Amino acid sequence: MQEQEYLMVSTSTEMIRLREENVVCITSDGNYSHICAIGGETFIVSSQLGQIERLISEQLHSSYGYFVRIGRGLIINMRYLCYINVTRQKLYLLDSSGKKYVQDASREALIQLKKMTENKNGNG
Amino acid sequence: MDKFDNIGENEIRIIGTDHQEKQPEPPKRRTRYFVAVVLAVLIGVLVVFLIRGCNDEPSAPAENNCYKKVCEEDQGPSYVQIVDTIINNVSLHQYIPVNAKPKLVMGLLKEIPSQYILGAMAADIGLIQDKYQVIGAFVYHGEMKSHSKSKFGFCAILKDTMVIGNELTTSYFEQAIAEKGDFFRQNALIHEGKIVNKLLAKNKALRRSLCLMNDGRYCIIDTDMSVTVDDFAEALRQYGVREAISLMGSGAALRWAEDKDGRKHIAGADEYEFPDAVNYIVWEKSL
Repeated sequence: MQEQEYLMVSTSTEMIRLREENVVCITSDGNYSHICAIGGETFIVSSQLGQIERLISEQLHSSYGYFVRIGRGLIINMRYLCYINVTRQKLYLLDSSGKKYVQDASREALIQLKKMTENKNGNG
Repeated sequence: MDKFDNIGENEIRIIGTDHQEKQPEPPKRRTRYFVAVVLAVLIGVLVVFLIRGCNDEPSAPAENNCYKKVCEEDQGPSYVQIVDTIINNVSLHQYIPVNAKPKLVMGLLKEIPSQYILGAMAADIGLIQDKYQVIGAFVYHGEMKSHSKSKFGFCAILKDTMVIGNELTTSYFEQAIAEKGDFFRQNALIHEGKIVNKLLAKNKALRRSLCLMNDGRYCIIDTDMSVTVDDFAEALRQYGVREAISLMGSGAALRWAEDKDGRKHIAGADEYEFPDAVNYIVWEKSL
């Protein structure tokens, strides 16, 4: 049986352990990152977004394609992407509990994300 | 530089493999064409601006350089989350409204209404034609109150949605009038995560600003110590502020916040010399 993969962020004083499907998005806040979990719970960790990206890359081997880095300030789980508005520079994520997450991204990044998602759906 | 930090604001990449790191940038020819169009538009806007003699608010949509936040669903109590921090020896106090809607209020508040959990004096006031008036363009519930030569920074509130930006001309001004929204001008401090203009000013004062953080939350940040505007802006930038405009009056102007336990944190005081022109950015409890 395949072992379940977890994203684990650990510091000297705390540890966060979440299954891939429970992570909705991660936002940057300077030297900190906010990990948004399903249901709206947010964990603040003292790691930069690049370090979280490295952990995802190292720990979630079977989740290739789910997590996408968008610009300098955002990582999203593609499972929950539901709406992109290029003009308003917005994307919405909708988790399985029905909670909506609104995020900003640059116009150019959203154009690429939209195209990538369309291609993926088309090929799938 | 770590490869995980090596990404531009306009790029995306799938996480997990090395062989498919970055999505391709748009072709160079397209970029050149885009730059040429942008330059042409900028020159056109500059010419129009010069011809019109610096009249405020010609209509020119410029949403790309603004950020706005869609109000999340209201749930739970309304309060202000207060965060104290020190960046570069600058002591910052951050006031984040939770479950509250932004709006402008005009006219002196003799008492702070209980439904306003966070507020601060907003646009500057000056003596114009022997009358105290708001400085810079100002729209209150759709009515244009002031139309003088403006500052570059602005805040617009349209149907509970706040927008902060740094544009000399913005369609949000006309939109505020058309949709009975609010609009005011102030000096911009941070735009797209960068300091707008280094002023190299030596004078120190208590500072206050209306901010949009990198995580999309709006808040008020002020200092309890006198600092230069450059030091304040640098501290905001390092703290993770994406957009920021000044708010009126450093230590003298009123600011209040009601925390989760119902305690009111008040700084400054109202100015009584010009009660009609006094204006506040406030967050009202969501029902």
